[in-house]
Amino acid sequence: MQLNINGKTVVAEPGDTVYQAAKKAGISIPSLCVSHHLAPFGSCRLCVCEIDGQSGTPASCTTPVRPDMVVQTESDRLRRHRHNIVELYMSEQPEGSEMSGPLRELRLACGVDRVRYPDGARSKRASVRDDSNPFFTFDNAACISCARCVRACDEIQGTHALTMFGRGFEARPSAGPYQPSARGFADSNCVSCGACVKECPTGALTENTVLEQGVPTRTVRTTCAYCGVGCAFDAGVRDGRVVQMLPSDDGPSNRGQACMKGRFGWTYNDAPDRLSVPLLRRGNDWEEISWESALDLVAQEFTRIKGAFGQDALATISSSRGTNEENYLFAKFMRCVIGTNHIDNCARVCHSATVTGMMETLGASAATNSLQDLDVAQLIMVVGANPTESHPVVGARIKQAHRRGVPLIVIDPRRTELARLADLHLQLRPGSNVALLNAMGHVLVKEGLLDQAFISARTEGIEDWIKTVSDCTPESAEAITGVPAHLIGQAARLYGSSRASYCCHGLGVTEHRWGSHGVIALCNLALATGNIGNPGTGINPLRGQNNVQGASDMGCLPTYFAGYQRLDDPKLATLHQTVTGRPLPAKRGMKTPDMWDAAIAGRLKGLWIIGYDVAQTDPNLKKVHEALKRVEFLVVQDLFLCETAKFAHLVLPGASFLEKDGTFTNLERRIQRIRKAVEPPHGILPDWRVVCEVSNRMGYPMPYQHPSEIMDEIATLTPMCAGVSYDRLDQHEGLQWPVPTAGHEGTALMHQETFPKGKAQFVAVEYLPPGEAASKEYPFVLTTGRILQHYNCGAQTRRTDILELVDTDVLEMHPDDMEGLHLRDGEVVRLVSARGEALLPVVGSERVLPGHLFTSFHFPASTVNALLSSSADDSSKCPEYKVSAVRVEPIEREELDPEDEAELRHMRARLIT
Amino acid sequence: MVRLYLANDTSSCAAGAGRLADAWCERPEIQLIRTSSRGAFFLEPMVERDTPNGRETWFNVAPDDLPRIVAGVGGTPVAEIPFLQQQTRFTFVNFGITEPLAIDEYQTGGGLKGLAAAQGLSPEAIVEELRISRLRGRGGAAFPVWKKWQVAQQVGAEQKYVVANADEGDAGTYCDRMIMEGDPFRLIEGMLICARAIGATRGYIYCRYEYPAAAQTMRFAIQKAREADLLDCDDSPFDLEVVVGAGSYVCGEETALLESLEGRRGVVLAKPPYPAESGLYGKPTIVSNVLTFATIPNILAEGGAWHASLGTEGSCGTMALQLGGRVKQPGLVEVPFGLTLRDVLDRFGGGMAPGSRFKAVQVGGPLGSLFPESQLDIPICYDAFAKAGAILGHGGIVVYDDETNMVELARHFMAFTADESCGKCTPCRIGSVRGREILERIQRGQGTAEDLALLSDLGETMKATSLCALGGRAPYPVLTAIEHFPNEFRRCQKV
Amino acid sequence: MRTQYGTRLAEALESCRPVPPDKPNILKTLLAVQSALGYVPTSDLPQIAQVLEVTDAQLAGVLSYYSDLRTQPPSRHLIRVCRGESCTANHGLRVLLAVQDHVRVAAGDRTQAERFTVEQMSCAGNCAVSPTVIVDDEVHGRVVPSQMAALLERYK
Ligand SMILES: Nc1nc2c(c(=O)[nH]1)N[C@H]1C(S)=C(S)[C@@H](COP(=O)(O)OP(=O)(O)OC[C@H]3O[C@@H](n4cnc5c(=O)[nH]c(N)nc54)[C@H](O)[C@@H]3O)O[C@H]1N2
Ligand SMILES: Nc1nc2c(c(=O)[nH]1)N[C@H]1C(S)=C(S)[C@@H](COP(=O)(O)OP(=O)(O)OC[C@H]3O[C@@H](n4cnc5c(=O)[nH]c(N)nc54)[C@H](O)[C@@H]3O)O[C@H]1N2
Ligand SMILES: Cc1cc2nc3c(=O)[nH]c(=O)nc-3n(C[C@H](O)[C@H](O)[C@H](O)COP(=O)(O)O)c2cc1C
Ligand code: SF4
Ligand code: SF4
Ligand code: SF4
Ligand code: SF4
Ligand code: SF4
Ligand code: FES
Ligand code: FES
Ligand SMILES: [Mo]
Repeated sequence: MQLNINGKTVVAEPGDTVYQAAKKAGISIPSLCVSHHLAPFGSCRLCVCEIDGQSGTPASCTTPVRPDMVVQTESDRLRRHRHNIVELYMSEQPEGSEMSGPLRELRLACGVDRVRYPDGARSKRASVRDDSNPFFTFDNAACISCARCVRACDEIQGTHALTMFGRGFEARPSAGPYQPSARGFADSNCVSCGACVKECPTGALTENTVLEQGVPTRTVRTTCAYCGVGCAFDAGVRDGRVVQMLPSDDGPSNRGQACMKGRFGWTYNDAPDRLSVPLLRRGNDWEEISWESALDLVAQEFTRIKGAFGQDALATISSSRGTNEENYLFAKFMRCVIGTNHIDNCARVCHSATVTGMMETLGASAATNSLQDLDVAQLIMVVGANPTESHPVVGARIKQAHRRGVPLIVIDPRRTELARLADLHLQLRPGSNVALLNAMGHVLVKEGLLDQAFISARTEGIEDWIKTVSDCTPESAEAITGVPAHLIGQAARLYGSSRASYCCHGLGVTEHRWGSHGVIALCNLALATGNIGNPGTGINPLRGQNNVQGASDMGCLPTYFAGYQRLDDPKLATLHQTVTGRPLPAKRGMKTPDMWDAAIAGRLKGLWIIGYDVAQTDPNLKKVHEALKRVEFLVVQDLFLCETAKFAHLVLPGASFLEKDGTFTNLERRIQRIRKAVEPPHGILPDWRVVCEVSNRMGYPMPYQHPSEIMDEIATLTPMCAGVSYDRLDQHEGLQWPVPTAGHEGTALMHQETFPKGKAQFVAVEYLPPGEAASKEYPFVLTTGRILQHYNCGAQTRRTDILELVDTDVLEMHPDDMEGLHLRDGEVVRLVSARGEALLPVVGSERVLPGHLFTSFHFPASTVNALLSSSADDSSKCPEYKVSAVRVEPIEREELDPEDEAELRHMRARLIT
Repeated sequence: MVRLYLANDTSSCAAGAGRLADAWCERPEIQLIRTSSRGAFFLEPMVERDTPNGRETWFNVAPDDLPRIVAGVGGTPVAEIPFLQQQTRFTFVNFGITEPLAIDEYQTGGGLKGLAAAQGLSPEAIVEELRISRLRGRGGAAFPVWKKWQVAQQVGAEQKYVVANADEGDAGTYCDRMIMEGDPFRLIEGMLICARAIGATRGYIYCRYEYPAAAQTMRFAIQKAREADLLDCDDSPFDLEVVVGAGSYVCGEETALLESLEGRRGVVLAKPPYPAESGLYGKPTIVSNVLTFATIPNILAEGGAWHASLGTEGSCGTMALQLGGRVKQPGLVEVPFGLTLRDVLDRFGGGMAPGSRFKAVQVGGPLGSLFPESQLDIPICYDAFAKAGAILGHGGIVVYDDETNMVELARHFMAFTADESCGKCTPCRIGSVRGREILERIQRGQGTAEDLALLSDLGETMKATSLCALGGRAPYPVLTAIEHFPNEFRRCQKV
Repeated sequence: MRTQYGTRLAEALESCRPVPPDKPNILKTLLAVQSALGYVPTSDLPQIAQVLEVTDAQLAGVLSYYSDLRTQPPSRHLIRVCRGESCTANHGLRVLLAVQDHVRVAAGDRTQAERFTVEQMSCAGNCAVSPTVIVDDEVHGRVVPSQMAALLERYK
């Protein structure tokens, strides 16, 4: 479509506004309230224009383009109106208040040298300041009441924590509560995503780090290092320090969005107790030693152990928090220098069941689709995942889709935020996924909702599956799951008939005694309805850590080489020998739990753990601690002296993601760059340099100068990454594997034509009960998982101002159970399982059903994982974190101080609303 | 026993009808029928009784007038009241005659004929009838009704809505209240016709908080209509509900109204999308004024051409003018478009209230322009008003006498805008407060010539850039006050 | 007292609990609460938010927007003096002054005796019988400043 703006012919899309069309054509129109992230609004009225044949001066930001319209954005009349509007803005700013950059520029541009309304005789903006949020501050003096912040909270984040308050001249943004005593943001349901701060055009909302340390002088594009969404950020740097993390508008997975942790939870980087030098254990003390001697020591000890006990006495657990290059090198080190496959990573305790389950059915173990598919999905089904807390940017996108009218099914024993919004919430008993999913299959078969064309062309083994699900009636599933049969039927019908059903799942599927069966059951449903290989569909595991996908991709697995290549593949063996000069060990290595057994049995002598706090986050802590104690030489490499480091003989400090170059692979298989924004303190070596140094010392030189060279090697050895290089990553918004050639643009949507094995495989699975059930002695089922504010072992988030918001794990219990046990909010209780016990404050929460308990595991003090057993999924060894039988005992009621009480009450309100 | 008729609407009661009813309720010699009001409020409380020659009436009745009335002494035939005689009553034909909630009376008087006609027509044909009728919306913007309906009809959606705008925020207007209190089935019938034309299954009447009696009458009427099986549209039930506002003038603006109807802050939204494409809950929605809906049954019953034959070229049909302020005979006047303002004031208003002299008249509510004596020959018609930079609005006509202080009045107007501004757009949110402050300064005797210039400069920016007509029209009454009565403003200036 | 209050609040909220697919309606709910309790106590907002499943902010935004929603309990009698144009033309300002004079407090304040609250209102739709004063639910038309004292004396 063509139109004419200021005499210039401009091309626009139908649906564009005049403002957008002008902007595309490089014509800038003065504006304050418009944002391309938000729906047209039209508040400031600076963007007025003149349109031939239309009376008046409409706002260009709310006027849609029409073919051949003739627009003027500059004229004496328009300039005068803009002058008058800017003058009005200036007239309400309190005396002495500093005008923000954009407003100051507008004032110059519009030539407002004086305000004609006499001072003193005019009302000003009320002096309202809200500094209750730990991360940012609102100052009404600088505000122009444009509501961009409110709209951001509604439209982008979907939290509705902000409102315009009052009307007319008084109208101003405000966070929630009405009571004068309320603290504003802190007492609201704000999730500190920072969207409002980013949208604010005037600086009325500003990050505290910027207020305190100044605006950044340069920015570095990088990727968030918390969760698997992989949000792109521009790290703002000033005087060698990061002062701001701003989500990038062109970030492919986040499009300018972020969550509390990525946006504000990076200040651990400057934490005073960051490890700075290698520490050597001397009895109960640490001795600071030089890097030289630390690296020598690792090389010496590993050489000694290998010599004395053989290669099988050494193992490494690599970090899903580190880069692809680092993970590749650790695996290479184990295979080429030590000569074993004893390497694993944190995916073991996380989505290993997904890997197994998807490999068996689809033949590839990563999200089949991309996050952008949420824009085209006709139905979204969230199974055992809590994205608004665990993957908040995905959570917000799902909420946006739901607001657009896309139906939402949530399968979760808890009433999570998405469950509350959902059209259907199937609140099943923990551990009963297979029963429920098979019953959905039953309905699909019975009601003829199968995609026969897809099934016959692209799958095998449907008969077995049909046979299995034919017994799984919704009624029988109701008895197992507790979900009313008719809801199961409804869910099946919605899922089977939407034409594009997007399924994403999380740990509620994998971390079970039969976790891979749960994943398989999901894949069966997708295959049966043809919801694979098409936009807006798929099986999409919400992978957890920033690079848990990458750590497995890079071969930090005892059973696969990089790119999930078989260890016994002769072609690979040859190539490996050529490229690395060493043979590829073919014997499968130990999985993490096997390592604990081996250590306790005295077979494992030397262990290297990088960025993984097993002593806090693995299950059955008593056993893990025992194993760690038995190892002769334990090296732990971390940013902090985490719980695991406390067992180490040698602790090596790590460089954080802000201090190194490399790549992460996010939950949609997208390989993205991280870039060094600041120097690591005290000359800390990044993890990849540490491997190189140790390897050099052990007689196998690793002469890499830069991670890009490591990536080049990965590309030669790994067909699915063959086309990846830093040059390409710098030009693209990352690359989604498979990228088979240098000319290949990456794969946003997998399995379009064929599956890796040709056809996909139905695998019939039957419901089997969890490892443990509630009993008389242990009447509650405990599920563990995460909360928004903290991250896994908490080593990082506990070292930020997030601690002001949440400073303890809490036990969520249904109010009826609270009453039954005569418990009050905030009371500390003892949780007892057959393995151990833990102390936690309890809060009443309607997120859980009676008989069900939930807690997080982010604080070492609560020793939650001491309660858990070693029970795990058979094939993947993914631990059963989601089902433990426990009892709850009241303890001597130590007086909680009133502040804590208030905090807990507040927490309760937040949990419920 | 004598049957007496006494109006039961808010204004008649405020004028004393309520007191009469209280006083007479136990009297065995009479049967009191509570009707709607004729709209000749200067005569209320009016008591009527049947005679062989039609109704006879007693004006401004006090409780002890009863014996006189029962005796039939001193009554005036209704047909001889000039105020009523000179009107052309179509929409208000039942007023003063029927009981508001008597559905059978409504039907006997010709009600439901429009609906029946509509039921015999295709939705397209209904819209076509409206196109022929050239009916324009009576809520203020005077937009052709058929165009909106056609849009809503053509947008595909599983749910559509019909909303009656009963916010009647303009001071000086009360015809919507009269319709809801006095002839509620007419509104329902109009809405049903609309529902049928666009395919809506749900309707709302958004009634301002200040009209509790109207809301209550509507609720009863809806109940009765439902019981009479009237409330269905193409065999599916038509859900109709009264929703009450909470004191915000801007909520009369259609987008703000829909926001408020959804329970949110009644803030104006930028258009497009227009409600007819995407309104309530994002669905196609017709928002029309109560009077607009009430006009429609007759159009369907008598045909669009009949309606188009009334009034002037650009303004067809009749208009319900509502006289108020210092006129001698305030009340409702339904006449075809085209009379001059002077005619209306003289013939119906009867001149000024005793003891007062004319100073100015405001047409179209608080955003309407002021007319001095010299400009009264303007015809009552949308286009003539538009040409004069004025608005007919919802037909409110308020006359000010010479005791009115124009500076205070101008300040009052700006203060109204400042109070009622939704606060969304800058020119209105800040501008109205600055405007008020300037006028306050002038009022205090501290104004300067520059202030008047500033006021007009600010006014131009408000007119041109405000998002809705509240900010956009607010300068008109103020600037016309300055234009026509410059001396009063000059007198107040600092020397 | 408190329990009666609690029941009335609970009933009002129950009547407004959203039934899917209908969305929660904040304004309607606040009006229901106000008609049950006479005002909208801010201390009850969390409970209202919970029933409607909306946020405190959403409630606060609506509550602070509409002038007819009250967060303070009104006095026994609410006097509303119309300030619309027709009443203004009929010198309604003098009526307001007379009322204020009688109640001896400025509009918006309350007498010590908790007897009257005086508010100004926009047009009551009673313009043809103006000036208008509404006391509680009773509409008085053609009021004369000098008669205000007598009129208000009827409300104890
Ligand atoms: N804020 C925050 N974000 C994180 C993390 C963090 O620690 N904090 N950790 C990251 C990591 S490592 C991971 S792996 C991801 C995990 O992200 P999620 O998969 O969302 O993790 P969880 O909260 O552990 O569990 C998800 C849901 O599973 C439900 N569930 C439990 N049992 C069952 C069941 O039997 N069936 C079904 N259907 N559901 C069940 C739980 O109620 C819970 O709501 O989050 C990542 N993101
Ligand atoms: N009860 C219970 N336990 C669980 C779970 C559960 O649901 N319930 N979930 C499990 C799951 S899914 C997971 S993934 C695990 C996660 O558990 P962990 O992997 O133990 O926890 P993280 O906090 O992700 O990170 C571990 C460490 O990595 C360090 N680190 C971060 N970046 C770097 C780096 O660049 N270099 C180095 N050297 N170190 C770095 C951090 O300081 C931190 O100490 O927890 C598991 N534990
Ligand atoms: C500030 C403002 C207040 C309004 N108030 C009313 C009102 O009270 N009643 C009404 O019918 N229309 C009012 N309108 C006009 C409506 O926006 C809308 O045009 C009208 O309801 C459409 O109905 P109609 O086509 O029947 O006129 C108002 C407009 C504005 C800008
Ligand atoms: S930080 Fe996010 S959740 Fe909090 S108010 Fe701002 S936009 Fe809303
Ligand atoms: S805080 Fe910023 S974004 Fe929010 S209204 Fe004020 S100026 Fe606009
Ligand atoms: S959603 Fe995940 S990747 Fe994005 S900012 Fe939050 S923690 Fe970082
Ligand atoms: S402006 Fe004059 S000619 Fe035009 S429609 Fe009105 S009365 Fe008729
Ligand atoms: S003109 Fe006034 S009422 Fe209308 S949108 Fe702007 S601020 Fe709101
Ligand atoms: S940018 Fe268009 S009105 Fe503000
Ligand atoms: S102006 Fe007061 S009742 Fe209309
Ligand atoms: Mo994880």
